[in-house]
Amino acid sequence: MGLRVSLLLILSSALFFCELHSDSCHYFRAKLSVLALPVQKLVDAPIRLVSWVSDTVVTQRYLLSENARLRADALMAEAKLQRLLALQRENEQLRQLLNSSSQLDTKTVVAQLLAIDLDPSLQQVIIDKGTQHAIYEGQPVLDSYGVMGQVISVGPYTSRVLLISDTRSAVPVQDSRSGVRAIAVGLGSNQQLSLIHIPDTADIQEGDIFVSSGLGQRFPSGYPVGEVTERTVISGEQFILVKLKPTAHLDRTEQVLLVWPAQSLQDKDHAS
Amino acid sequence: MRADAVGTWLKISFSFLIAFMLTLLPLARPWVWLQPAWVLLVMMYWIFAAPQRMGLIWVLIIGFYLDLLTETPLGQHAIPLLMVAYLLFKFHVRLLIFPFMRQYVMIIALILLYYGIEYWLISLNLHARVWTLAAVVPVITTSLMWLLVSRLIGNHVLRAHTVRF
Repeated sequence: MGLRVSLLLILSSALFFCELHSDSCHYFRAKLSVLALPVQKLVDAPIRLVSWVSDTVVTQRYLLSENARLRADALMAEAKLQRLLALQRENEQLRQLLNSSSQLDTKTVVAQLLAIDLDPSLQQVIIDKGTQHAIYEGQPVLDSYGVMGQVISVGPYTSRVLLISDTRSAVPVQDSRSGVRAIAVGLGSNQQLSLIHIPDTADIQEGDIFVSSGLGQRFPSGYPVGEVTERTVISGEQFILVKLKPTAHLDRTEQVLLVWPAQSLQDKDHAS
Repeated sequence: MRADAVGTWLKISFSFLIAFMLTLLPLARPWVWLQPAWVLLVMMYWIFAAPQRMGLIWVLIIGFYLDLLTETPLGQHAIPLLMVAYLLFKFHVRLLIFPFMRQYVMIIALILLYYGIEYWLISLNLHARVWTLAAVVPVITTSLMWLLVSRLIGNHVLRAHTVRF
């Protein structure tokens, strides 16, 4: 028994370190994730059913009032969109004058989150789209309020998203007011991000919105990432402490938006 | 006898399925830490109740499947489960004849070992410390849940063992 347990321990440790340090093991494991799907769906389905039932069994009055509210929202959005179209045209003309390339519209797909909890040590979620839907590793994921994270492993039918609040996540960001550039890293809790290596002369104030700067070529530029909640100068330290509150609803979202930034679309065309 | 064995197999598979599902149950963020290690509890139960049906290889497969489910690196749950299973296989007969409190202290030690190894593996993976105060909570809830599970083990196991002695 002692010999058997040592052998099994060596085997499992080897797999553990292989997955941590080797890309091919990581790839193999992403394929294996399809085995977990039945049980994951078994938990997800009843919860989805309950929310479906509560959606179906509502009073007509509620529906009417919701409909009126949504109509008003749509009207407002359309009014804004008209202005946006004019601005976009103007922007393109200005870009042509400057001889810089105009930005293309990006392809997007809506995905559902699976209603399951992964390990509490991880700030990750599972979405119901995989290689079948041309999801790729490193793809940015947004919700309607801002940047949520990026895809880190793709299975056939599901893929895993690393939220921006995970300790291994870093997003290049830019202050939308002053233009100060920084890196926002996760702290392992879905309420906080922190900016690293900010000198105390940087023009950052509480309430500033940081948007993705697009510098890492992974996240598309201009999407909100977080709002500054705390700016503390620690005496004796070289850098100041800046905390952000993520604008995306990391803990409450059910649907997310997967984006194909123009850059990777062109890459894919070259590949095929 | 064969029908009995098949029945035990079904019971074991079903209880692990329930444990897997409970582990994945979505809870609001602070409540996540209250989740006990369901799979560990079920595994300890079956090692006491039917040690001849559980083997180390099965424990490893169950651990790997739990890792697949929770999307942790393969081994993060399998290695601590394997360690606890090995110690339990070695000592479960002795534990059964211990007085209750002494038995319970040993079980808590095993649960601590399980979480100790798991947190250590997590820290290797995330390159960050996970030793927040919240990390103690699942140890407590798992220990409390064991009180219920040990009731289930009940007298028939004890009787079976006393017959053997």
